[in-house]
Amino acid sequence: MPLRYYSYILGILVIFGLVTATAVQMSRILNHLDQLEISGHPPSPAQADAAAREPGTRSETIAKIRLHIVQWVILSGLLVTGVLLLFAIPFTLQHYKTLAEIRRNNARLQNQAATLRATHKTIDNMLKDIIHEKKQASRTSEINARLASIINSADDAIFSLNLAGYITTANEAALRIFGEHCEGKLFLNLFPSPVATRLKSLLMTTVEQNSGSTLDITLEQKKQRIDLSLTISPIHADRQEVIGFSVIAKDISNTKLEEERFRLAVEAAPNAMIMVNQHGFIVLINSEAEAMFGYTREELVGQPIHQLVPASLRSLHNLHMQNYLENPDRRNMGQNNTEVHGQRKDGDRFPIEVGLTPITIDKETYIISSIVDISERLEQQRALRNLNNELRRKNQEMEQFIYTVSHDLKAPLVTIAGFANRLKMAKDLDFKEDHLHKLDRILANVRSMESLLQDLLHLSRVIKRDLEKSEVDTTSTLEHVLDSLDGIIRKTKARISVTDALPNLYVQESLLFQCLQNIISNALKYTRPDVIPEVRISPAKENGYSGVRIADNGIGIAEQHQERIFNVFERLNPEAAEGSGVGLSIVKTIMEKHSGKISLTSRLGEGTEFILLFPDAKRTS
Amino acid sequence: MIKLHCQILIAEDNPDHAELIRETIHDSEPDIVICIKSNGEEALKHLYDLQKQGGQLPDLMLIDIKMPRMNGMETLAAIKQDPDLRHIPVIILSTSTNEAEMRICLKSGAAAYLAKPLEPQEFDTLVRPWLEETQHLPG
Repeated sequence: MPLRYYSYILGILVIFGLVTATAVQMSRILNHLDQLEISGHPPSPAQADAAAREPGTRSETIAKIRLHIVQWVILSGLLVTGVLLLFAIPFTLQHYKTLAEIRRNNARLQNQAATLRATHKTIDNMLKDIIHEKKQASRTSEINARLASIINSADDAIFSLNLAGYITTANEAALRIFGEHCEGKLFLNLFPSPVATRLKSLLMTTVEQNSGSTLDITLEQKKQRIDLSLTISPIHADRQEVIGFSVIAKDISNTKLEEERFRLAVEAAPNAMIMVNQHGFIVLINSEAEAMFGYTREELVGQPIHQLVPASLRSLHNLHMQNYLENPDRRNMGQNNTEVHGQRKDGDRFPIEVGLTPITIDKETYIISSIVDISERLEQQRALRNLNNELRRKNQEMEQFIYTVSHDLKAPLVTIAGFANRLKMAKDLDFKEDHLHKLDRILANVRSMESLLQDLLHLSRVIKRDLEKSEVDTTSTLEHVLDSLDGIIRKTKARISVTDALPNLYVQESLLFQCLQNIISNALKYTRPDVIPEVRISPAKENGYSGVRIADNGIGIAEQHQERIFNVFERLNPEAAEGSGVGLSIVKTIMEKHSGKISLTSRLGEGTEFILLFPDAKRTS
Repeated sequence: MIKLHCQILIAEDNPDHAELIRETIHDSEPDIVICIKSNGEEALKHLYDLQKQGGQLPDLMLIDIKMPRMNGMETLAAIKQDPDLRHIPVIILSTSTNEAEMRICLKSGAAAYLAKPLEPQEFDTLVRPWLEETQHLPG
């Protein structure tokens, strides 16, 4: 119990004692006053008795009353003071107590005020920060919104995964490719198991190495093949800890398809094909190339192309390649007929022909080389050259043979004809019709043999000589031909007609003369009995060629013989007319020399038409 | 027709041909002196001998083009290069006539290029004029 309560109790007891003492004093005063009243008034018997009993007491009583009043006043004074004190002390005590408390509180409040001020400052700062951050945040959210819209509208599927591999967000492209409900699923579950296994290890390495990686995969989605290029990158918190992954899946189906087409085209090419990048490294080869060089694809892809070049030619090849890359065009490797060689894995060198084609993919230049092993071709060419030389030699021998034989055969003919003529003219010849006839037969045969030999010589010369071509007026040449055939034309009464102007031809005139002469004289030789020979000459024209058309109304040539008539010594009806059988083969040889064409249409018993066509000057130059 | 008294030198390796030429010439001009040599070399030797001995050079030469040792073309060239002989007209005879050969011969100075055998008409029209010309020269 606090001390003040004891003092309260004590005070109350004191006041109670004072009240009691005061009351006692008052009662005494009152008694004394009663006694005084009795003595001053005709005394009642009792009073008179009491006054009588106490004769002298009145002044005493007054003195006593005065004394008691003084005592009462003192006691009352004390009582009032005591009561006052009783009330005052606790109040004062309380007051002091409250004051101290107030002081304490004050101090506390002041402390608190200081704290509050500090807090206020802090809050103020915080508020500023918050405002700043809020601004920042609104900007960030704007950026985020923009980023989000970018991500959402991206063509590539974009996922974010948590560390456990669950999809936390997916953009629209992702939903489109992988289905609406992929969010919240395990990312790996979107893929078939072999791909998932690879992806899993990739995710793990991404965490371990804290770096992104890329993987190309192929999916069957809704019965459609999709090629995706997945780029997996770690997502960091505070640049340290990996808290998840971002996955960007790029649909490269079209690219892949094109790549595939390109690869198939290269693969299907009949030649060895090797594609090289601009640093000279092989990026693609087909199986023909594998077979040609004896390497497998894996051994070659990524290797420098000069691995396929013989060591002795590598530096030169590098130089050429650099030059080529500076100005790539479509051409063959190894100009000026230099031989290009390749080297097989076993070190075997072989001649090749390389066609180079530059192509540009994604701003990168690649070179596609198409390679042909020309060993066989070279071998064949060599053989052909040898054969050609052999043939040329044989031809020369043949020509020489023809020339010599014709000449040497002609000499005795000259002798025979000469002596026969002399005999025929001899005046002393025993004139017998029979002898004369025999001499004539000798001479006739000599003439036919001479003309044959002459034609053969002619043919050999046409074959041997080089052409001396010029622009020739065909009409004037034809006139010369007709002049030379004047005798036979007169004899046969042939009608020769030229319809339309004949074109000028780019030929050797003497040979054109021979052609026309041979064909027209044939037309006049092989005539039908009782039919007046008719020869119609007209211009002929074909793309790039010009010439003449010579038609007759002679005996014609049966279809089965039309092939043969150009052969040497081919005479279809030796009895029908004179002739060596060499004429048309000379014509054919002349046409071949001019790179021209000869053709004929004929009907037995109706006539023959020859068409001679010579290439125009532009073609031959 | 004037009778010709002149000299012809023939270079011909084929004796039959030589005989035929001689007979053809003699048929129309029996007085012409004909000398036959069997190739170009011998013909030239004959000419040089004549020169040395101061004999009369032939008025005309008939040379076969195809001969052993020295052919007609070479003989022609040799004659045309010799200032003392070049005036002699040379007629080339060929068994197998051909245009190119003819052109070369005429270019090299041949008076004519004829195909064998030598016909009497040819002698009259193509050879005789040359002989007549030489005949007229002195007188």
